[in-house]
Amino acid sequence: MTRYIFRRVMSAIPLLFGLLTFTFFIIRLAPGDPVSLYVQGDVDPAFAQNLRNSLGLNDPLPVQYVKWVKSMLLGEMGVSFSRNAAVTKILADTIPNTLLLTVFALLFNFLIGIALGITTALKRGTCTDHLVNITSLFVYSMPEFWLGLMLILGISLQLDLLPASGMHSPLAKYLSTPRYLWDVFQHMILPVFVLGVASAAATGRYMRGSLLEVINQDYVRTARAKGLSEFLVIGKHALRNALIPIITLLGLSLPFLLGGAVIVETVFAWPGMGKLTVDAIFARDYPLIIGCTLVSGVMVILGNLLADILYAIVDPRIRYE
Amino acid sequence: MNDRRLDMDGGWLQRNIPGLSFIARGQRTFGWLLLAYFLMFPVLILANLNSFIEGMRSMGLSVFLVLVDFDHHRLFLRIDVLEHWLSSILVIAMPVLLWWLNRRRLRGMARDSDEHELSQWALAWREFKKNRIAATGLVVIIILYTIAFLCPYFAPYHPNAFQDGLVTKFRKPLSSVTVLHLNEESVSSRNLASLRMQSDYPSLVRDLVLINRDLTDDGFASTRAVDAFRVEGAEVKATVGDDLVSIPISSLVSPDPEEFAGRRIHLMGTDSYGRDILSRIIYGSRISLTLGFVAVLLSVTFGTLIGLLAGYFGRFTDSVLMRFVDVLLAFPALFLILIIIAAFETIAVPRVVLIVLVLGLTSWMGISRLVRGEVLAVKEREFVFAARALGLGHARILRRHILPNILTPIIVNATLRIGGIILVEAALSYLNIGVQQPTASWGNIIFEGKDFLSHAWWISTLPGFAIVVVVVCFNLVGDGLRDAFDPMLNNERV
Amino acid sequence: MSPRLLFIAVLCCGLFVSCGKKSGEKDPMNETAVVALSGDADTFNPIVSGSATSGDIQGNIYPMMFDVSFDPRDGSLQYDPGLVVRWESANDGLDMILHLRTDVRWEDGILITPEDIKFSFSLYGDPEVASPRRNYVESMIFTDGKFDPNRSIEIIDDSTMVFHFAKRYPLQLFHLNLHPIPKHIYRNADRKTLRANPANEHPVGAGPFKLDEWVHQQQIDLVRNPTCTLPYPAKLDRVIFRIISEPTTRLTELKKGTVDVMSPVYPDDVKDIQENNPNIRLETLPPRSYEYIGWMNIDIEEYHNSGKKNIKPHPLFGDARVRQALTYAINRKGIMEHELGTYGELAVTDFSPIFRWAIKHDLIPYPHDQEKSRQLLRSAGWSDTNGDGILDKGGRDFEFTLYYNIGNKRREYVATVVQKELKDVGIKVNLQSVEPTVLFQNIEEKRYDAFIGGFRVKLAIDPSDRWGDVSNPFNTVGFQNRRIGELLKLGLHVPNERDAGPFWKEVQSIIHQEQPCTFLYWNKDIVGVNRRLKNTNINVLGVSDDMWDWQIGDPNSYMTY
Repeated sequence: MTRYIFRRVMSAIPLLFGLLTFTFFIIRLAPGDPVSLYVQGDVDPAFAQNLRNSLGLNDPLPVQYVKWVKSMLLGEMGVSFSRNAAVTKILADTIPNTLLLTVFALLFNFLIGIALGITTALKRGTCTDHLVNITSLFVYSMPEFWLGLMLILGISLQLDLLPASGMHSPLAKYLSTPRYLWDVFQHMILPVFVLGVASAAATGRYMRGSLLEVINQDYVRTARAKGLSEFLVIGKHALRNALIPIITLLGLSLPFLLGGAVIVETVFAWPGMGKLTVDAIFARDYPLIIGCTLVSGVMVILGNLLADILYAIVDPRIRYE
Repeated sequence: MNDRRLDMDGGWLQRNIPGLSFIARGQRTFGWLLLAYFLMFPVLILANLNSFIEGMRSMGLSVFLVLVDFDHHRLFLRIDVLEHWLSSILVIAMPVLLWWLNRRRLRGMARDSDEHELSQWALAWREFKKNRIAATGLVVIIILYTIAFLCPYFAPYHPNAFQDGLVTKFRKPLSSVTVLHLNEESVSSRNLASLRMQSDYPSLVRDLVLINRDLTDDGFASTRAVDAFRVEGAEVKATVGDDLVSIPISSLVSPDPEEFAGRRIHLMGTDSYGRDILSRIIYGSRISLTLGFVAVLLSVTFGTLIGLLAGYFGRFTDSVLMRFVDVLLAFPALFLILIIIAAFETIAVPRVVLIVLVLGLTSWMGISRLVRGEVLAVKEREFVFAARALGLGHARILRRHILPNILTPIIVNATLRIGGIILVEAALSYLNIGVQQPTASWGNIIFEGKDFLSHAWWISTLPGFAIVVVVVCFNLVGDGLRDAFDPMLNNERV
Repeated sequence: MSPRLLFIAVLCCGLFVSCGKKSGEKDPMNETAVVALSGDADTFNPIVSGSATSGDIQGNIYPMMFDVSFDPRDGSLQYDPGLVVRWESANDGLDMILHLRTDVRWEDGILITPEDIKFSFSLYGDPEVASPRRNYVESMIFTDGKFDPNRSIEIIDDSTMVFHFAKRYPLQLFHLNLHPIPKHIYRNADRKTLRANPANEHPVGAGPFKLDEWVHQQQIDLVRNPTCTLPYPAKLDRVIFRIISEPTTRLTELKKGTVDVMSPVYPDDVKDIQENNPNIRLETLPPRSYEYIGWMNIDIEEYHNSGKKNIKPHPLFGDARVRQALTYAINRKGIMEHELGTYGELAVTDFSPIFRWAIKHDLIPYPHDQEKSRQLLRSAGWSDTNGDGILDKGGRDFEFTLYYNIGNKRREYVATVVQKELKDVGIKVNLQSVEPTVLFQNIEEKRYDAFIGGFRVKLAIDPSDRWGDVSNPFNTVGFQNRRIGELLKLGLHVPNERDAGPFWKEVQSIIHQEQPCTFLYWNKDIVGVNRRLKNTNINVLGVSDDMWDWQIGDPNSYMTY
């Protein structure tokens, strides 16, 4: 197992390098000038040229590439143009925020999704089944930003139940730890819901299909025939096998969540990777774009790896050598 | 069996009016729907008779002029008129197509009436029809696509038309705007006095230009929207926002208030420009639905191709292609789309085309993995070995023996994807790189209205609802197809 | 966290949410104001900072040379003592003698000396640093084409220093009013990487506030600087700036009372706020930025390919009559009323109405008159000879692409209206929205024939950027006029700002006549302020000007959970 993981991680390195090189060139081919954002109002007219010189943007592309490869080999990610700070520091500040959001969204996604899937599969054909199916389809089909804004206006402004945006109250750092956690938790509810609910609906539908397939298998019938309680049959025999395809989903849903995070983070003013990446792309902040790409690439690859490992845990037939 | 014979002899009506034969055979719901759908087209033509005839005239004249006087085609060939022609052709072609299909079906039935072998497709179709929910989804989708392609026939106003925004903006759904109709002379843009045609057929060109102008004219320029008005002597005093404006009665179509004043009804309200939202949603459906369809077509084609190659040839081809797929999959799709659109945005293609291309070419990876897996399984089956033993070429084996056997999962997957693509288009609009205004798409209508959600909820909510409906329907149809194609679940249901 | 725990947590949430607000104990929010901003600061080093947010907040952290205010009745900047107590001009206006306070300390307790100031100016003027305000030292002494701090700045003693200028001009004080930074912290800083210097994260200033914490993209906490003597210590304990980029969310926070100050409020939201939110007071800022449609005056191909002198006029917009016709054809008043309601002012030229003394009041804005427009176009030789509804001349159709930045709804509206209204006079406009980076770059490099742009004016009149040399990036439309060149020289070299009035008025007449671009309107930004916040003096200098004076009027009025 360890060797397998090691091999997987090693094989991911050229993959990441390819990804970064691809990003490096395509983003530099894009029109637009990272410096131009600052040149407005009462700014020195020669400023753009000076800044471009000092950022090394006037070098020919191959030279920039060689420089970049060198610095990457040394583990340096450079300095963000738009935020004037080391890319590594920015990423270190931002990644935890995104993890907080995505991990809880994933949890929400799978807990709610699996619960819905089991309910609908067991009550197949009933009113509950149809109702849940249709509702989850509707939720799944809503544009995220629209759902987010509606929730802010409805739950936060009209009903005044939850805070509208941000990660915590302005003075949260002076609160005692439990109060602080409580504060953050309240701020998380809406964004986690919006981020997780669509995938939860999807997971629920997958789970339903998967469980239905398993329930009709011989061994489940045998278990039933043995006179085991329905709870044991489903909980012990059927569920375990039905979960296997869902675990693949877990790995695959990471890039999806990261993509969705862009919108959720903007709507809820949550300072995470998604918004950072989009801002970086729009500002043509080359070093930061590369940094963000690296992070999302690593997260995706780790997600896949995690799914494979979980596979092995859930399904003892699978062995990685 | 007797029923079928009866069908065939059902007479002229059943043969020529689609739907009747179904009703006669007891498939009532389907029959009535088909009949209504078929009859909708003539009704549409009648309801828009004027613009239909004008469209036909415009098309005929243009074809003639292009043939005889190609040098001056720029005078009268315009994109927005072409759109009109397309709708006019479709409104004729669709019923004809339905009629022909009906004839063919009945004739085919007569011939094969004793044959019990139904193809895999026919079986699946039969299963699908049994699934009420999925069938409803399909009906809704067909209706929406019909509306999308015939949008000039359905939309009450021109989608980009606005005038006197101060009065018309942010009108609630089901509200109306008072308008005063101006006469021809006082609408300066309509003045064609200076028109001198440089063509061999000046009068024909002039006619055509006039027809085209009428076809594409939104009619708003000849009106004045006001909050309220009263007649005072030879003038009409009108309130426009906080201002009081006076309009001479001589510039109106008639001195009679009954005739010069009218109301413009906005069923779904107006946006911040004062444009009619219903019309924008109808025209926007054309962009959003085509975009979804074409992008999925692209991605499925591309993904299938890559998957086929990788799965069939294996070894080196497989690992190269699949590593490439891995690189692209390691990107959250939205970032990839953003970067690519950023890189190519100044290339001289309309943004819609760019978005379709990018969405199509960034979403094929999943399909190619799926196809590869299927190919790996099918490749080992006997009939492929047999084909190989016969010495058939790779292309033929792929096309005739492998592709048909993996088509089902591809179709199901594609159907499920269309909804997703429509949602991505909305997300792109939110990130400011959606379809370029003033062209309407569902995404950019929602985006246009999102800053006004707190006091004009309808701008964003109604197109949002449209998206929900379409995505739900596509998912229902996709699920239905999957169930229909999956024999195990079928057996279970029986 | 195990699923069970999470489940319990979710349950608890339902219970707690209904409990609502805390009560009792003294709430620190009673001494805290919260401001919502749309974008984060880029750095708190005033030498290199470029964003509006940085500029706004820096003024409260760093010491200021002068306490500057803008007198709206009078229309000019007033300089009151700051770090500089007294100043006098000498040597026929070429020298400026500054008398400094000697008792002002940086936050870390070290005295501010003339050395700090000289050091800071040497950084501002160094092209390697690439300061956006490098042009402030442009009129001081240069050696070999480089700013020479040693010859420009002379330190007499601890309280006196002299700035030497190469010429006499009225903006000298304006250009001296740059924030100094502490030399003892930045002494050994690498100039090329100054913008990424780690010290920028913890700015050491001497203003009424100091930076307590800066969580990027999220919030900026300023706390009262107890040692501040410049100009006054702050009254509030703390001001928090929150970064919320989504406008609907930002407005929601203001309405909920979780944000005290928010800018900008959209004119379309004003009615809603006035009717439903009595706790919010709306303040209007004087007009400082304008929107315009740029028509390229010169032939851009020739401009880019050949030498940059005497370039031939643009084939479409080179003729002043055409540009006038375009202005006549566009209903600017209609656009303004639709977009801004009463929060706008029709722009006649690029001289802001706030400079009352310099405005030529008798210029009549071009009315919306399509007949006049057609007539002018005809006289410039444009007519529809082939009958396709589009004007043409010498085989070229009057057709062009109008660029604007993507996502800017106001400009999108302008573009849509312009396309429609120009169609009525026979001009075909194609619209193209591009990302801001792309738009700004291409405008500055003069690569677009027509575009929608905006400009935020300085608080001192200096038209040389916009209408000076063609190669200046801010002369976005490539306008060249000999008489304006002369007037600029005259106006910028008078001893007293007011003496330039007649010259500026003539510039306005020429601009009005020539219409190098179609000026649309001046925006008056609207700021929403919660009524619990007192003593705000929100003025043209920015939301956080005079922030030291802010006070919370009504305790326990902040919304918490």
